[in-house]
Amino acid sequence: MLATPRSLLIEAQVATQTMAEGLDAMHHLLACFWEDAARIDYLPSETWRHLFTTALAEVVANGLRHAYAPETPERPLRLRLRLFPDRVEALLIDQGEPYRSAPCTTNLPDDRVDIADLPESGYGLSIAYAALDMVRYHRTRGGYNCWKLVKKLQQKHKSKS
Amino acid sequence: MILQIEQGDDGVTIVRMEGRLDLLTAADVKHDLTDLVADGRRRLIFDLERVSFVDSSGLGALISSLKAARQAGGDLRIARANEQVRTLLKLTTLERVLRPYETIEEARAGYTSIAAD
Repeated sequence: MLATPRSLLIEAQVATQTMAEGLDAMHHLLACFWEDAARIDYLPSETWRHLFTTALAEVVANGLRHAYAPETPERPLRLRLRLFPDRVEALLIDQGEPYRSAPCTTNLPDDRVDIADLPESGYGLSIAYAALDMVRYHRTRGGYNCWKLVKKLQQKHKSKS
Repeated sequence: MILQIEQGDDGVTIVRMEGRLDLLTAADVKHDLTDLVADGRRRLIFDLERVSFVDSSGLGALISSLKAARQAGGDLRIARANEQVRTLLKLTTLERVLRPYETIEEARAGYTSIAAD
């Protein structure tokens, strides 16, 4: 039986010029991360990975879209993924403008809301909050936007030894 | 990004796309789908078999197109969505308004029964 890993770390720094490059880089990095996790027999379930990927994509898209002005030639983005025995953490750092207030979020719809009243945007961060165990934003002293995302692993992975 | 449009004899239009329905493609998809509704193709099936990923922007495009279709007396149905899309719909509780049909035939069968009413 494989030993419980202390951690698995994968990190990428991309100086993306477009939002497409940033999103491509994120999906590519995640694919590599899951491959590495599978190699040490620590791959979370498919649903777990979908929730994590969906949440991470929302935060990355939010950063690429809101932190940098539309005419910005480069959108540097640093993404670090780390697998611990009981959780996965993502650290996302960009060099864009600080968020002056909490990013706008639309509550996930109540299941009684009429279709005509359904909002058509603003779900992004609500999805991240619903899918993850922790979403934390802070502006560093060095002038970076820093998002830390945490999702706990299921019991079967926690108890593995 | 190009949508493939297939108009059936029964008045149902099947729309297909390939790739990610996300921040980058959602605005175009919304535009194209609402144009279809404005052209009178109000019974739509969006075949998601080749859509690898949907984010909140993509979801917004689907909601917007669904509203347009419903307002025109039609509907937008999604078929063959992968597990990521189903997970997203469940998380957001939107599966009740955007029910993921297993197959094109299943989505089309619902339309046929509506047409017969």
